[in-house]
Amino acid sequence: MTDADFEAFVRRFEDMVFATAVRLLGNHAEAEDVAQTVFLKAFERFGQLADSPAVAGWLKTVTTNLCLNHLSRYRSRWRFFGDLRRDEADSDSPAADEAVLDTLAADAPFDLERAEELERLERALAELPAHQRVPLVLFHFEEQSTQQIAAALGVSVAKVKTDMHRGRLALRRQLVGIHDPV
Amino acid sequence: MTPSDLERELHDALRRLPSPRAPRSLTPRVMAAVRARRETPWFARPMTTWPLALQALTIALAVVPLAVLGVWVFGGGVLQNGTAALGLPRPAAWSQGLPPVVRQAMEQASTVLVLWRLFFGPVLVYAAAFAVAVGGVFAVCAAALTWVVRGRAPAQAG
Repeated sequence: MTDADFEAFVRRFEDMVFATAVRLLGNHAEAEDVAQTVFLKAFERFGQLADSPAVAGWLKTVTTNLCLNHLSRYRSRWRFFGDLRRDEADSDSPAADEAVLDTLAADAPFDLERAEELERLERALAELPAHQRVPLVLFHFEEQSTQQIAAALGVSVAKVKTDMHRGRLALRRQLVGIHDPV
Repeated sequence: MTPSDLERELHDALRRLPSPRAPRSLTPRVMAAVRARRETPWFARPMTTWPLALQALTIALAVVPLAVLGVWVFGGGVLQNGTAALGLPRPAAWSQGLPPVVRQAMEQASTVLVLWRLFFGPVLVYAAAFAVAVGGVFAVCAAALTWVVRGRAPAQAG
């Protein structure tokens, strides 16, 4: 194993690792830190990983776990998991959500053919609170089930569904130009 | 609009987002960290990266003295109390029924235990404290040497 081999490995997977990290964390600098840590872990076991067909899955799993650790430990330890638990205790208000849905249905559909709309969606996703963004990213990009997400976050499936629904409502509002606080 | 409509609409929208590209600085940064990791002395790296034999030896060196100390300090009392609490006969009584070879082995073990308690046991705590102190001094010296020779602390290298 040479440095050139490992450098080629990093170049091959850096976009995938970075994309996963930046969407989960919503922050470029922190995503770079996490990506570096992921590749250092890969370096420690490069002998086994280099030719493994499961390498992409391994990198995604490690990236996801490190991002969740980062969110819980370093950045918003109190806010992220505090919000998860507080929201779980809150009584949901499906009536209010239904009202928002009715309002959204009357709005003009957004046009994703326009680059600025895509940019707006990406920005809106990054600006969602972590307890809404993380399950949405795991569900829509990493194709995890709500059960898997609930297990990873240590919350109930119902809580995950509620957070994802509210996150989607917030995104939809942003896209149709209703700039309510998320 | 139903929640399912919203989910479908947002799923389509999110999947159309272009995947973020890693910054150009990422690969050089990772390779610099890899080179720094490689130059870091083995003892300053995470223990999980040490050779397996060295990990096993370290764990044994850490665990065995503690286990010996624990048995020496608490073992006799616990065994005696446990035997009494269970209403079992004292070892001297039930050992009469054992084969001579086993009894002889037990007597020899008792002799070793007596010698241990007379000569080695009393200094064991001091020896353990001395070993910990020497280990601490060694770690500090190693860190200082690494700092002087390589111009940085080992913890910063990773």
